[in-house]
Amino acid sequence: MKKFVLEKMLHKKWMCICLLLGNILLIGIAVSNPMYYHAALNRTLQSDLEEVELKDVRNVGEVEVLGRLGKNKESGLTNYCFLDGDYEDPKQVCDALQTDYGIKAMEKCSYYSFPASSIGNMTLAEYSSTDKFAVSYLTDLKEHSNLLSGEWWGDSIEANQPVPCVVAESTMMKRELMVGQQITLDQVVDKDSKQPVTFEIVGVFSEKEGDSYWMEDTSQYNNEIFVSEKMFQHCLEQIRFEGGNDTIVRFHTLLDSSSFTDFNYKKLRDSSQQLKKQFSSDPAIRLHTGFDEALKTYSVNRGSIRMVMLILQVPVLLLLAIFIYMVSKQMLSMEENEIAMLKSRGGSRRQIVCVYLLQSAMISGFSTLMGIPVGMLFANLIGSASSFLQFVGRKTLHIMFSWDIVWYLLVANLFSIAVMVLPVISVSRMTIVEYKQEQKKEKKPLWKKLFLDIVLLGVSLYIYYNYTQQKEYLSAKIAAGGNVDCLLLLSSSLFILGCGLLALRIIPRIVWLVFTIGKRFWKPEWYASFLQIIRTSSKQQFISLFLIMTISLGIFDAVTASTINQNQEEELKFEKGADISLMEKWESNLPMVLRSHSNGVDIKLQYSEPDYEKYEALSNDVEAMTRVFRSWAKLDVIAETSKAIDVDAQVLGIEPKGFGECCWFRDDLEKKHWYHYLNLLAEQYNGLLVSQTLSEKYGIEVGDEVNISYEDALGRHIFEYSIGKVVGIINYWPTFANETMTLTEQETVEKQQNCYIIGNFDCIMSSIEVQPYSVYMKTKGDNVQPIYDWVKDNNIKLEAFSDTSNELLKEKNEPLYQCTNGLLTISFLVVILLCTTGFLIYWILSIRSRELLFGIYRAMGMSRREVKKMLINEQIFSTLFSILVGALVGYVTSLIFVPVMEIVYLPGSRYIPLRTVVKLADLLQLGGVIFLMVVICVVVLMKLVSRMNISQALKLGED
Amino acid sequence: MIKAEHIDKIYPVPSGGEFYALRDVNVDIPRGKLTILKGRSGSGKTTLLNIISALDESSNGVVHFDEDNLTQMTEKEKEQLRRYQIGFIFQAVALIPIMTAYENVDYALRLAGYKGDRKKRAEECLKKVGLAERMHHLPAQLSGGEQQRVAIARAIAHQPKVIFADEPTAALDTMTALRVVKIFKDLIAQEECTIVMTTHSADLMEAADVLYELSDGRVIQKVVSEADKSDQPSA
Repeated sequence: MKKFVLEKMLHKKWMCICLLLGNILLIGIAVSNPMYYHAALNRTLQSDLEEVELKDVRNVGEVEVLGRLGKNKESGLTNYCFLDGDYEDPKQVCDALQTDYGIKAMEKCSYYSFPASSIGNMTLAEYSSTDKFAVSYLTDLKEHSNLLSGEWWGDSIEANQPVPCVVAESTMMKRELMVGQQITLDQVVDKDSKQPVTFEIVGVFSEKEGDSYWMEDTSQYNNEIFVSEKMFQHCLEQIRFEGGNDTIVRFHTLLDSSSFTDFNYKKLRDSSQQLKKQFSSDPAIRLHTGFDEALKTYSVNRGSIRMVMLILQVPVLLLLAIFIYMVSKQMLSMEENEIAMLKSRGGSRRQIVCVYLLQSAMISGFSTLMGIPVGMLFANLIGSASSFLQFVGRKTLHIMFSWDIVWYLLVANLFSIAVMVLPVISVSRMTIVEYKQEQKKEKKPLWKKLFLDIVLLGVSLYIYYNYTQQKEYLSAKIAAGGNVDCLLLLSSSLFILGCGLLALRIIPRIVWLVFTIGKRFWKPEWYASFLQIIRTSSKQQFISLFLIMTISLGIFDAVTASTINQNQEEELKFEKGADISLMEKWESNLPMVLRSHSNGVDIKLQYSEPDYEKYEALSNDVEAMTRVFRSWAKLDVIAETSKAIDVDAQVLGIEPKGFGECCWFRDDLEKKHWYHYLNLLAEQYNGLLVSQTLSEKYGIEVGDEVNISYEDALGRHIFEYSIGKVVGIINYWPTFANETMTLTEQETVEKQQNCYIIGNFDCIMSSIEVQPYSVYMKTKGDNVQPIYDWVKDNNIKLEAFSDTSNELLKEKNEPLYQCTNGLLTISFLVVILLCTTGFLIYWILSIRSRELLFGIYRAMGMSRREVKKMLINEQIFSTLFSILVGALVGYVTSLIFVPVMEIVYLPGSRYIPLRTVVKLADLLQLGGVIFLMVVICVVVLMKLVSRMNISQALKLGED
Repeated sequence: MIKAEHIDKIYPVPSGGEFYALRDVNVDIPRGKLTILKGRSGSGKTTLLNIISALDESSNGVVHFDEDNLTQMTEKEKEQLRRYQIGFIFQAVALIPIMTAYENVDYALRLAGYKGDRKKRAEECLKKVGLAERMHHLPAQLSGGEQQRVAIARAIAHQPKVIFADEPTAALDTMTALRVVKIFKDLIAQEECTIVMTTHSADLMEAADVLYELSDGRVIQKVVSEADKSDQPSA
């Protein structure tokens, strides 16, 4: 059977190659998901961990459980009560605190400290009785410390001798101790002699540098004297601590945060949640888990990346499935006759299905071999995507094996085998007679009967409608870490499919209409081509649907990518205002102000302004520069009837010309160019631009005069009033968001309108005396390094610094954006590849199968030219129509559904509204490829027709 | 009407050398008669039919179609000839599958630029072959005999000078085949056209006005019916 299948495949090698292509791409895309996903997630996890570590001084891999052990009064004095358990020994408590995190701990250490006791007067007279020392033990102290002077404790315990102990260097310095000094602690009493125990400092230690054991540095132990393990045991047995405080037990674990991966993060999170749950009831226990917050952020990020990947992949996987189905169906239809013949000659259905099963298994097997490296390539491409159709040479992704890969592989293979074999089962039922009868029947496709097109369109538009109704809620929910509804993001695919099917219903009708209108006048070749399209529409609908879907998906991908990228960039540019903004540290009388403030006297904050002229030195690297003052103020509108009193608003003091040169503004945001508003400001020294939000809320109009009371850095309004005149109302202004949305505990959206005013920098400064301002710069080109160098060289101390291009780069490297761009690009490329191959295959096969028909036409006297014209007309009315419909569907889908993407990528507060960006270049690229594809196809078809020999064609027909 | 002289059709053989499908064939097709080319499978009758009907070219020899020399005609002229003056009926019923019986006939009229009432003519032709009732069926919905009759209607629709029929009865039972031949004879009488058909069936020989028998690419026998002998004493 193997030989038979191989020969069959060789006979239809082009079809097989197409099937292979489809399968390889299917498997490649399917497995690239888990490959990229895990690699990217690990990177995300690490960056989330790093971020937390930067904020938090402590090591992110650290887990600390600190408990106070009280003596159990009921069970006697010797037992320690911890949670619900009773322990004879604090060490047992520590053992109980051990948790399995799924990864090996780098360091573990236990710390025990007996209740602190005051020092007996007789030995250290200079200490007051409030000074206390605690007897402590730290596991493995010796191994992780350097002995600075003296010696470590010995092992022997001698009665009536001072207990040897060591102290940290910092303790020695702070408490002015020295080696050889003896300390007697009042409340540490020998059980036998009932006398206070005396300790002798025998050594001083410091932490070993760079030793991860020291999660807290030794300055934390300034009250501690450390004893050896043996002595600790001895203390447990022989010494009574009479102090009021409880014994402290602390168990410290340090996990290697660099070994945190997506695979073990769940176990880590679960363990930490388990601990939390276990200890939350007991106020005597303090738990610190360094990675908790990072894992929480990560699990939100993880979800959205996973979902976005799936959602971006589904349409292209669907398309690949259609492609595989189309090719295998075509192949099958060429073999239906043979199958029926085999069946009639006694071949069993099982045998026939087995032949196809073997064939598809061979194709799948080979595709798997090829698909895995293709998947790796795709994963790396996704990882190096910087924008749509743009890749940068990033470090190759560290792709790890995961069981997910096997799962995806298996599902992809099973799916493609099913697509290839299932249609055979129904075909293999028929004998040659039934087959011929079946051929004569006209069948209405199932989707037409079910009105699937209308259903799909209805569902997708309903989902969209729901989205528009709940947009604010959804967007706030996602910003707060909620998940996006998958159906919402899939609605665009449903819409495209619905439109494609609807087009299949409509296109033949349009062609029929055109045909009928000119029926009497059509030249023979046109007449025949119209009939060909109308009467074989059921055969053509697959390629039509395929074309419509590929083209619309291609356009949708391109528009989605450019919209996301451009809006992300513009949003950041708008938010930041300028390429670079910085604020120096200003010297002020703040300490004095604070002191007098606490005494109830308010004096003005006064600053000494750093030299602004020095920035001139940057003139070679900076195109424009300006000063911007930002603060809060209270506004009172002066009017006969008071419109507004004590309105809080943000103030921006700008130098109109410089601000206009430095900042970026999107042209479509205001009816007039934003320079118009800058000019208004420049013309009126005390002029004010007022935000629409403010104007709407309080009815402020142009011409109103406003009293402004500025706030100082401490939030006080102690300046004189200044009077400003409203010269313009603005809808948007760089650095300001009109609204801030938050999700409340009750899952409702809270919208906060932001009010702001813009005034002249000089005017404001003159009324409040000079206050710290930012310097905005527009750089020449993209190179910002000279500015960094200048700041460093001149030793300028900065209060704030922001570099927009750097932030953008950081955002672009985020896996969410990366995988979006990468996947959209790959989808786009796959779409183009499939479109070309599918289209060529379909037409070549269609021509081949119609050779007899062409022979008849030619025999009837039709010239080659006329046959070619006929084919061209067919191309116009089936292909061109589908392409145009595809383009239209793609465009409409983009306009409707691309804005939906906003809630995934740019949720929450927006500075400027999203605008759908249709880049002509991308469309031309797609158009160019399709044009090329059609041209190649037409050339191939023409060649085929030219080569056709009538008598041979007719002979073929006889066969 | 058609005169073929010294016709050779030579095919190169893959293993080298040449294969003569036709060798020095001379035929003379009289106007307004039914000429039958008879022979076993592989005797060369279809090749000969293709050559004299301007579908294929001979390797050597000359074919005269009325006054014209077919062998010197351009491709375009041949197309025109086929389009306006020739009708074809093929062995495998070569109807255009996407067109109904009526449309098939109508299409031949369109191609030939028929000046009269196409609808009337098409219906008339279909009526002639006895298919008036089933004219709006697609070929797939017709039986083999019906299809062949549509092919005949299509071939005669534009009133060609000659109809070439390649084994028109091969796929039909004897009764239907005889019916087809009867239609041919009627057509000759009514439409005054010339018909050339090939067949291997002995049952139809009697219907021929002129019969050429081919074997291994040569004409081995020419028979002229008694009635025609008087018209063509030279044959």
